[in-house]
Amino acid sequence: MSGGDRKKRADRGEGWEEAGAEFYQESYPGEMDLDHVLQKDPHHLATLLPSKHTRTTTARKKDTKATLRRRTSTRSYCGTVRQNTTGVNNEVQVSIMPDLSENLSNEERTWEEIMKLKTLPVSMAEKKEMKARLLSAETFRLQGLDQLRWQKKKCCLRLKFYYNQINSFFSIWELKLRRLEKDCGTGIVSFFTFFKSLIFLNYAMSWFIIKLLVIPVYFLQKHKIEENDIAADNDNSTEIIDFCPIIYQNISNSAELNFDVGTVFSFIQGTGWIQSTPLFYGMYPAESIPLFNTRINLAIIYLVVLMCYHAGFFIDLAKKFKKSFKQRLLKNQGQFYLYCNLAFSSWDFSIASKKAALARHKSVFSLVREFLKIQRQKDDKQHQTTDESCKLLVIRFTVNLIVLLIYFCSAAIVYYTIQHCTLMRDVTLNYYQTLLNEYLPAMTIVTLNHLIPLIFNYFIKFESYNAFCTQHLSFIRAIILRLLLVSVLFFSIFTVASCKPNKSECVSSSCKTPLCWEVYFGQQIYKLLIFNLVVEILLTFFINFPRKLLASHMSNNFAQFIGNQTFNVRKHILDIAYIQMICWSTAFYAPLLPMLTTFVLFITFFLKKFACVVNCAPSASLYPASELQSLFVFVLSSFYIFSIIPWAYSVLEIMPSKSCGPFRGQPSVWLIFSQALHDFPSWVKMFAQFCSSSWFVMPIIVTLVLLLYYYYSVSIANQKMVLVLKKQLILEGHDKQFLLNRLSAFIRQHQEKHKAMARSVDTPRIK
Amino acid sequence: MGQAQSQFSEEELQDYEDLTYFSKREVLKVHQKFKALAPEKVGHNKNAKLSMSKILQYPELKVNPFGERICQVFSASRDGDLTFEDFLDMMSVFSSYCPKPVKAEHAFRIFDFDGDDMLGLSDLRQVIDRITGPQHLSEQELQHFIQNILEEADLDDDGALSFAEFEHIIDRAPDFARAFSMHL
Repeated sequence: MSGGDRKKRADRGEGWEEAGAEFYQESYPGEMDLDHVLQKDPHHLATLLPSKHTRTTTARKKDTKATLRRRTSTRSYCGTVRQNTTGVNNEVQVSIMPDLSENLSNEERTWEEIMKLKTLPVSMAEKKEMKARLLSAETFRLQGLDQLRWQKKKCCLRLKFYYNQINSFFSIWELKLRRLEKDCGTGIVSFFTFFKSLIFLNYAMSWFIIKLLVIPVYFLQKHKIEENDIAADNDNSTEIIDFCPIIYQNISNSAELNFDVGTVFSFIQGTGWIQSTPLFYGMYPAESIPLFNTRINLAIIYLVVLMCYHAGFFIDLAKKFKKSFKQRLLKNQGQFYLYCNLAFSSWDFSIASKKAALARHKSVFSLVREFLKIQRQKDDKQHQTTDESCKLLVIRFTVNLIVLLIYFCSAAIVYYTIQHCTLMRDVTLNYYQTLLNEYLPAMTIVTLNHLIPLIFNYFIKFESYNAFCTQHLSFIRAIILRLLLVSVLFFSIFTVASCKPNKSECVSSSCKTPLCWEVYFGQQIYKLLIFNLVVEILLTFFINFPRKLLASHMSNNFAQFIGNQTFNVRKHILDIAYIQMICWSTAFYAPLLPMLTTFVLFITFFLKKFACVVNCAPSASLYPASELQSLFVFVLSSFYIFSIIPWAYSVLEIMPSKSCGPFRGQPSVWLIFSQALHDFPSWVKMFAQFCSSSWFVMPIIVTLVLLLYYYYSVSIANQKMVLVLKKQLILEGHDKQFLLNRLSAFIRQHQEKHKAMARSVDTPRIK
Repeated sequence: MGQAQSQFSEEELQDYEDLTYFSKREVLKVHQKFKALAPEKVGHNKNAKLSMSKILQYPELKVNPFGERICQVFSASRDGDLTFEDFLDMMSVFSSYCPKPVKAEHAFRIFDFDGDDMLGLSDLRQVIDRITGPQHLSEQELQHFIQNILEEADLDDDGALSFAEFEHIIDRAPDFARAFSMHL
């Protein structure tokens, strides 16, 4: 900006400043401007409207200072209007600059202004100049408390700034993920970021369990052995309950850790020596620990720690759910701009590779067409003949029947496999046969998990849904399948476990309940977890990787068909949530399983990344980051709720085995809580009783329901209001246009009249 | 980095830190990137003006359908040529620390091809044409798409999106801030 310009501006601006420098004044041009513009072109009237006016300048030529509407409300900027008389386009331009005459500012205000400069859409040179002007202006020094407060504020902001810098610099894998962003776009990266945070949460929660439960118990055991265990032997009780733990201990001790093939096999199967490690429930003693003068039953600690583990995940999920729920609400209320979003935020500015860019173009293109097609179909639906719709209905019904049938068959297969394996356990087998027998249920479940969705995908084509429905439906079917198969496993375990043994036996012999069913439960899930990982590794390196090689080295159609694969994020989300779910469902019976899961998830992370970077071509379908995250949260939270069911059922209903674990000899795990309540002081008891009484619960429920209803009606009312306001806006727009048209017509008329008059005055003179 | 450091005085760096969303370290990093586009030219004069074709060598801009338009918007001389300060301005807007309203402001300017401060039919047509790339929508589809956009967001029914309407869209677009970013 030249000096002359500024001078001019200052001259013209004076009038306004004297008048008190308010926002709206900048927007209304002086009458001279109006006349000038109107004389040139009445159609340009619209550019003079206040709403347009503040922005007209942002995209203008170099001597223009831009304004942001949101900035106009701050008083320290004063608008000055000037007319560019030399320019070819005679337009009114607005400039904004720090108002120096009104500069009563103190240090704090100046500093704030400087910090705000970065939001202005002007070039660096101008920003620098503004800053210099702000700095050179006289400022009051802050005194006393104000000074202190300002320093504190400044310091906090600085610290926050540096914290952000350091945080982004040190965050693990951040750089690698950034590099991924250049090739895959932000959607996929957000998937990995979410996955990463899940791993960290798992890690933190498993350390929580280890610190509060596993380590204390380990030292307790050591301490006990060092003391002496004569006391236990002297106990001459004849009750069967006291013998059961000894039997179990003998069995566990017989499988000592000696390094041979068997050790490895028992490690893989989760049997033998690994049973007596803290990994499984069976090893935890039914003791009480001395703590602050009182003795606390270990069972209580066990229960509380594992409930905290679940609660930790619950809080995290609730937080994430809240975030994604807001988005979902917007989408469902129809306040979501589908097409606008597609147009303005579907291009990822961070994409930096040619291949990814082409893929992105293609995906945006196909997405647009898909949306338009759906809309057309919706319009066509009214014209559809009944014949066609009937035919479609029959097809969809048949396919759903087939899907149900497949569900039933796969559940039956899993059930009978488990039965078969239980029977085979009594037969003596060599190492390999035992391994196979032990892993058969897990193998069946995991294989079906991966195979059946392929069949579903084949059938779903006949249903002729649109692309989005197809995606959603196949995803939901896959979720149901996984839940179904794993619940068959739970079911068969619980039927065995819930057999009540006679008084004279440790376990029910008629049901062939294992000596410690909790450990048996843990083992089954342990095997499922391990085999799931093995399949992931096999799929990634030995099936999909060769496919990729095939596709990249051979160019015939068949190889391309076999080898080309895209990164199907939905499937991967399901894979991860599945691992998490089986961990949640069993963490209570295997306290170290969360640690193992963290490890498994960690490996899975790299497998998925390998799949994304090496195996797959840049994704042809567009995954918006927000949608992926809300999908992830949705799957995780539904799995969480599902995993709570078997846990809650086993805790509340099934009798703990007599021979192992901290709850041995109790009729149910939950009872230990009510027993512990007896030892608490009376006010705690009173409080607990009050909380669980209907006097307390009923009002709360009623209040909640009322609140829910209130917010529901408020939201309905707001929705209506939005609609009304929208309509009003449109009407206003019409009014505005109408008035503008009338005004410009009037002005034109006026001008013509003038001209005509001038002519009529002129003509007689000539004559 | 030592050489890059010597090209800037401490005050300059402080200015850049105050006026952009970067730390001093990052400013130097941006300069390195800028220098990599034309090492000999920038080596002589740290604030050299690079032509648009040179700037478009930057990997993110190279594949970006709005690359040229971005250069024009951020160029102080309005011809698409960027000095280092312009480049720094650009990277600052695209940094992940930049708040959404500021990003929206610049996005509006980028999408406003004819510079009339409204996203009119021709602007929308260009935007769609650019994001679909080599494939082209049929005329009918294009019309349909634009009509849908206007139906959704053109609140005052004047056949174009004003900045206020655009800001409203961006407010409702959960992915915009993330998509409108380039990482260093």
